[in-house]
Amino acid sequence: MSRPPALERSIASVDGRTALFASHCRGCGRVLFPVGSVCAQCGGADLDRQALSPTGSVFAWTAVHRAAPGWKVPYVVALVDFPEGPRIFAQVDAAPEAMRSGMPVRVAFGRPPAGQPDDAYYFTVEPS
Amino acid sequence: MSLKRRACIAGAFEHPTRLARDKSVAQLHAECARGALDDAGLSMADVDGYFCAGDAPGMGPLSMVDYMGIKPRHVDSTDTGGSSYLVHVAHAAQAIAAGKCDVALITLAGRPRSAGSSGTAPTGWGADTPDHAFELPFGANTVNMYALAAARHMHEFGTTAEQLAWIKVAASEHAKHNPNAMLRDPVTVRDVVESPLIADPLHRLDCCVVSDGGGAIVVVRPELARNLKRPVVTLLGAGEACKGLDGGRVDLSYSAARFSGRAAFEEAGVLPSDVRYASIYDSFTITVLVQLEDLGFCAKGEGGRFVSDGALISGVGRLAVNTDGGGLCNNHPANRGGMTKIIEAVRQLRGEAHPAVQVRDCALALVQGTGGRLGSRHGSATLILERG
Repeated sequence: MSRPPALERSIASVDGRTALFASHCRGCGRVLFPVGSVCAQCGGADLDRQALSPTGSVFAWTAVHRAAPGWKVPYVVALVDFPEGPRIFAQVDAAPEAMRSGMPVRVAFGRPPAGQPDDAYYFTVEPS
Repeated sequence: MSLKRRACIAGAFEHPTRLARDKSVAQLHAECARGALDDAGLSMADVDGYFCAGDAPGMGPLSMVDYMGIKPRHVDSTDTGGSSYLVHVAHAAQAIAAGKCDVALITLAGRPRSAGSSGTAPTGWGADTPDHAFELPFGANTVNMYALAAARHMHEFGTTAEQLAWIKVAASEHAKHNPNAMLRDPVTVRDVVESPLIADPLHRLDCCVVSDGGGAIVVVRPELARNLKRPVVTLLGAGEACKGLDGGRVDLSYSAARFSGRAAFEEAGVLPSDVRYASIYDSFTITVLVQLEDLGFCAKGEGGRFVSDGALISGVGRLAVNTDGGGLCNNHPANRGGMTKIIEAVRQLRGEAHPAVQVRDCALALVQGTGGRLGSRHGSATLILERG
């Protein structure tokens, strides 16, 4: 699995770093990830694009111990809250023992810890 | 238009198989249809409304009515995952009330066990599926999308793995009386929490079985039901709802049962305290706990205490739940548990559950289904059924 085409508009460079981008709804103010064409809160179509902060905090996480062949287990996945609003799902490059709700993480790009897919965004542990 | 007492369940059948290597999915559908029609005392020629979900083989309802020789004047293939079959009962009642059909047949069948499906592989639904890009490729599988909700429930409300385990213990205490159940051996809280982790904090024994098989239901006009041979089960209220990521800020603390349950109770004009038996969708232990809270059987966050110490065991606890052993022990055909939830509620209201688990004077039952993923997007449906 390579990076899905639909993500191309949500990953771009800003200020010399690769960043996740979101849609900002001019109608209701909601910030939505990924970049889309319809606001999931109000249905509006007047959206502009904005970069998300490079760091967020863990809302919920789990360590996956049983997965498909080719996935290195255990791997950690989490929902991460970004300051702009979106709560984003991805793998975390951390041991299960190191995880706790509320901990800061930073977005990274490339091959995630489970070894699949070959190109994705994931999170790394940020010193708190 | 209220659906209260506008339709009755006249036939129900749970296929006894749990492993069907040599049968086609279409054949299983047809065997289930035959079983439910026999139960009702009706024949394929009486059916004028047909319901199946989007996973029915071939071109769904078009292939199935052709295969079974049904000449419908109403078809519906609404798919809300495992809750589809509850939605079908409500939609059948709508169609009957509107004069669009008189005898509605609902069928489910599948062979995930023969196919080797386990729910641990990140599976997509094709490149055009909206969530394909943003969860599945990055490591989301079915179990972990429930585990996230369980982990958050523990974090917010102090729920424990032992409390979740009681849900499995209750299911196993019921399944020991069910000769068709896949898992018939009673288990303890310790057995559950010491079974291997699948996705933390869910262990193997927090997860439902993977089984081949299916089931069917016949919904009819009330005047017809009174002339058939079986005890009458009447629909009092129904609700359906969907919950998603809410614009990318998914709240893991509740399910769409909060909305479908409220609608069903309002239509039926009854309260959770009136319910004598409850079938609660049990894809995982956490699914049961969250739905019990959302249906109002206990306050949000109190589910762990509510289910503990055998509280869901028939004749022992405060609320008999899933007395066939549920998806956790008995059967989860096609990875869709809604059909078997309806069937056990029908057995309870008819007084035909196993004597060891039959609720005394069971006059009012609730059926709750979810489908999809608790941690992202799912459908929910609630039925309230009465005896007579």
